[in-house]
Amino acid sequence: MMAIKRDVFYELKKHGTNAERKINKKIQDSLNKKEIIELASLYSNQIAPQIKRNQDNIEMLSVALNFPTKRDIANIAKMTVQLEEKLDKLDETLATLFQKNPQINMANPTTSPSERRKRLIKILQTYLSSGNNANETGKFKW
Amino acid sequence: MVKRKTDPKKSSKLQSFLDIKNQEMPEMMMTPRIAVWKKNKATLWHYPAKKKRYNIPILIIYSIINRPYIFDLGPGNSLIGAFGKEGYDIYLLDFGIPGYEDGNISIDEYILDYIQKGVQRVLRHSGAKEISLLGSCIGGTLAAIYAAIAEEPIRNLILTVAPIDFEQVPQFDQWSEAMREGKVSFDEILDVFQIVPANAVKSGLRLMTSPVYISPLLSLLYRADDEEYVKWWRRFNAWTNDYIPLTSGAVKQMTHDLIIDNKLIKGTLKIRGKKAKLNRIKANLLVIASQNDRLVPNAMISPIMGAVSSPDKTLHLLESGHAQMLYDDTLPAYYKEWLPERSGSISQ
Repeated sequence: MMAIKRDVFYELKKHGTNAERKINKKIQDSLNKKEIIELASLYSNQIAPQIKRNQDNIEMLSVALNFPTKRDIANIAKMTVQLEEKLDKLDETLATLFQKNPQINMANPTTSPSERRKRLIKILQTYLSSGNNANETGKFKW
Repeated sequence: MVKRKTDPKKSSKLQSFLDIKNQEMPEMMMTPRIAVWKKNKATLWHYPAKKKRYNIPILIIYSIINRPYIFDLGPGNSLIGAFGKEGYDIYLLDFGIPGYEDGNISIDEYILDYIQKGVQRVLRHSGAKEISLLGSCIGGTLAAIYAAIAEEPIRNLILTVAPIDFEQVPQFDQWSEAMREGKVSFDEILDVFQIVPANAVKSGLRLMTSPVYISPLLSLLYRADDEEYVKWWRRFNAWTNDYIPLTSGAVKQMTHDLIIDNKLIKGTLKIRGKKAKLNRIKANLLVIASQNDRLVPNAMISPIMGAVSSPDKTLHLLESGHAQMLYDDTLPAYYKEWLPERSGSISQ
């Protein structure tokens, strides 16, 4: 059996960890009561409408005083994510096109740039006119 | 005046301990990486293998509670580095730090808009035909949910300390019972705040595990003269204090679907209307649990073994706690023994 080197720091660690475990258990047991979580829930449900009312008032004030609110910034951020998603779809479509038509892939050295451009335009025209990617208004849908 | 004799070893240890705060923070996240894809706050990182030996790349999906740099703490303490040395191409999906604007991101969004898209990106970027998923903690729960609805080819699913069955929560059973009885709801305040701030997440997790938290300092004091341990401790300590906010959408869905209704193990969970049944998982499965894990005990993890359809499944029980130490960039034996033959060796 491996001999454990015991020193004052080892004893401190051992007893400290044991004491910590006991104290933690006491804290957790004393808090582990339905009444406590129910009270926290009740309190949160009381203050939530008040905070919401304050947020709405700030929104109203922002119209008169012309300052942006956190909701305005959040809306812009969401629009950026929408834009990212559209770019992702475009990227995925192009990747699929390149995969199916290796002759238009820029990384393919066997074709010249002008040839690749011609082929790409032709493929995109066919793809767009197929109707599969157009929505009700006839616009291209990514 | 009487002069007290002091043990030089003791005074040197204490001196080293007291001196730690004056030392420079050891470097972290040093493994070279490239951003492959970005969406909102999320980034898909690629850590190329030093010398690629396996065809199937590994995608790591980490928790939405902490930062994922636990996988790459620093030189000598990096699981990603250890995988790279062994010849695995590693990808890591970092969900980033959500803000107020991300409040509506729920588990559905994490699964379909981030994980599934991330897997597709990895397959495209690596040119691989299959993928290995490694999910840790709540990231493992997300990986299992994704694997249950995935259309992408998943060869291996590795789940480390990932809660699956929420029937028996380790602490605060009275709180979860009150939730199940419908007497408690925090939905309204979550809707108002949109996120749970990082400090609140930290306090909540500490309450669950260790409200009084002095033992790490005592461990540091005990080994203050071990330079490598001190480096690891400081990196690990930085990570344990680095919590991120949770989106209200994710908290609400986890509370209702996982904690209250325990839908994942019951097979009734739906992700954007699609059934996420664990019995749809056929990938090779490696599940890692820890005996001394106070946050996610084995009872919350091992029920997945009976729920999946995988013919090849292994449960590995460690003696450590929730997070494992890594000292020398050596891949832990349970990966070394299990993964190579299932990862499409290039030399084969």
